[in-house]
Amino acid sequence: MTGLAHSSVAASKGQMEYVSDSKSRCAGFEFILENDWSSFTQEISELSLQAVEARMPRAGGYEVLADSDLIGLILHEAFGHASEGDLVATKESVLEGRVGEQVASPMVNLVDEGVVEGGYYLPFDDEGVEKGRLVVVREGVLKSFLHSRETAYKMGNLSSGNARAQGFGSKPIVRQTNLFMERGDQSFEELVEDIDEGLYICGRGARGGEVDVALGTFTFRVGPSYVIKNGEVGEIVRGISTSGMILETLRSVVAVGKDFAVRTSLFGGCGKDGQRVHVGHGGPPVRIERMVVGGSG
Amino acid sequence: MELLSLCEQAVKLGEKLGASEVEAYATIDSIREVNFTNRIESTRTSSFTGLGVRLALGKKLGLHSTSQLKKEEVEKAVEKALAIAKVSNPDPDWVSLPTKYGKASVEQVFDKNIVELELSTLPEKAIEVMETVQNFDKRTTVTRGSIAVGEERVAVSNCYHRYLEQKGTFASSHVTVKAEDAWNRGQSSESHQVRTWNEMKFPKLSMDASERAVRMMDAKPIRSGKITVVLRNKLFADILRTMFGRTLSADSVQKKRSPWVGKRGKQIASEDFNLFDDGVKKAGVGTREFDDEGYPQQKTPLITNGVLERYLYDNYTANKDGKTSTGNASRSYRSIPIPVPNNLTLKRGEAKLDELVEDSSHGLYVYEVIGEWLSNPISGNLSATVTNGHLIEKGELTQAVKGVIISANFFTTINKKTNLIADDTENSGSTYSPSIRIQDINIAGT
Repeated sequence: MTGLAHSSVAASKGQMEYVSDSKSRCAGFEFILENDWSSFTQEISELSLQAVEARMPRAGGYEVLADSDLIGLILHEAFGHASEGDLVATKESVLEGRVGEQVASPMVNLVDEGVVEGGYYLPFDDEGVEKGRLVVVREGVLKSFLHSRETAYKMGNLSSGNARAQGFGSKPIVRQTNLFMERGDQSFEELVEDIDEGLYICGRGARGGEVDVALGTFTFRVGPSYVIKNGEVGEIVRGISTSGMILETLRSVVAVGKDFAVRTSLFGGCGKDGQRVHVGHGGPPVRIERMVVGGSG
Repeated sequence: MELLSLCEQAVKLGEKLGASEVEAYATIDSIREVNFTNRIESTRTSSFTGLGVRLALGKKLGLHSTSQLKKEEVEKAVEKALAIAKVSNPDPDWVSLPTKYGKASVEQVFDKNIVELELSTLPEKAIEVMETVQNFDKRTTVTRGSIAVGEERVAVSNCYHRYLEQKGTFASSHVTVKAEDAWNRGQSSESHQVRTWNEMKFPKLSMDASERAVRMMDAKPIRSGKITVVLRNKLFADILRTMFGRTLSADSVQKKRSPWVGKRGKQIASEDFNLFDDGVKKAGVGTREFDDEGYPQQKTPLITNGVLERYLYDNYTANKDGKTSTGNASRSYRSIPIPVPNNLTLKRGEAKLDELVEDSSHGLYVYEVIGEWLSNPISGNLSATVTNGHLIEKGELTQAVKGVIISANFFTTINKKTNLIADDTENSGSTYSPSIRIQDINIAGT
């Protein structure tokens, strides 16, 4: 994998803010040579300059439109972890015993796949099992969990090729590979126009997330974002963290966009049980009826 | 092969091949671990080895490493480090490798009981934890647990004819307990990190997590608004690490990635806020005789009576600022050192934890959160999602709370004169903090 990361710190009137972003690809050095990195880094610096002047939104519940970049992070934390077979087998996950149940809006289709354009390249897992395409949620109904050989055996199933180990000194455990939501049919304008008052929350500069699969609570910290008023994207806001419940958030998906992207990162990764591995995630922009947003008083 | 003699050979070879300065750093980390749920899931024994060579050709630097502690592999690493140095751009800030080496006097960092522990002891203790949790209440079970012990050996040597070796031991335990009946589910986690086997408190670990898991069964969010919060000691330790761990490092300050640039000598917190790095704390998780460059560890005041006093230095950043190292160099054998805290510590206050709660007419006692590490140490924006808390009403703990976001500007928060610091210091990893009460924290809830 090759990639480039850039962080930009901006200071203004005694306030500081920083924004960082990266671009990575499972490719050779041609990826570095072919990209225009000066405009990539300039955009990040400009965003940090805008963000340092921005206010924080008022704390509370909001209707949100999550961009394609951020939806992958939301799915990874809000649903992906809870579908991991080891956490299901120990009955820790809130999704345990719910195969066949409606766990998301009928617009939601979730897939975990080993080889996806733009994602992390994993044709087979660390137990030698082919990592094909696994439908986790079809039209809102929970279809399957992610499995290693061990958890598949425990639950009377077949491995889905989701066993990964950080290195030779670690035990392979169940991990997501490229978990993404399939595209819908709405344009960006259509997604925004029905929101009277809400937030357009963005992935660029997001700091990541964490989930408690037993309580079903997840949280993540998004990048500089925008206020939506009367169907239009307006003022930039910063410092947003959001939180939600696994079983509620995907049920509140009210619209799914048609733009689609999956991405991976050389610099970040997913941590679980002290092991860190590269993953990919993504999807279309998605409108969610309500999420809790932390902000100012 | 002995670690130190390999390091010395690497240094000699580097000098012979024409490097102006050479340093070798080698480690052996041995870990034994058991993972369990309501049964033993896995046991593991691993040993990780490595040796890194850092050398200079004038001001041109090279680094290479090997994970194999063999003479021929070490020689290759020296040759490659030199080849890298030859094509590197000179670093104008490079002065020299450390010319001062030494050992501080430290206590309770090595326990032979850990090294000699019977293989069967860890699974036995895991079963003890499972049974304590199962016997606590018919609704409580372990959903995840681990017990680990380790031994670390470090050797470092450089061309100024210095060589040092040290060893340390570690033990840690973690348990997540679920309490569930037909209607409700609660959960809580607890963990301990110590240096000696006798400090491990398995019954306390199991009981604390079980008791809280049961109490959390009827937890729910509370309304959005402003509230007084009492943050548990270990949680505030995590927050201190996120907010100060990187930004008080001279590396961040010199790269202008820290909000504390140009703030030395200024009041940045209230007068009762005293933060220091205690690299020689008795039995401290980050206590060692010397840092990863061979410089003796020490106690360094960082914020005294609210005034920012010092940054943390390794040799390189100290040279750049014309200072001396504070003994905070940290690295793996594969990387160059950067300064990080050894045992970041907030000085305890005089209040009892009970007073923090009793004095609050309307508040939130926060025990566990997720996502506090996502807070922003540069803008000061602090936020976390509460997974385990209790409402405080008229000085009493009442309704269990989860699923609300607490947020505040950390820089404003540490300046408040109304903060009350308790006397109940505990550690989360190598950060030590007492519990603290803070007024006017924003809550995003229902």
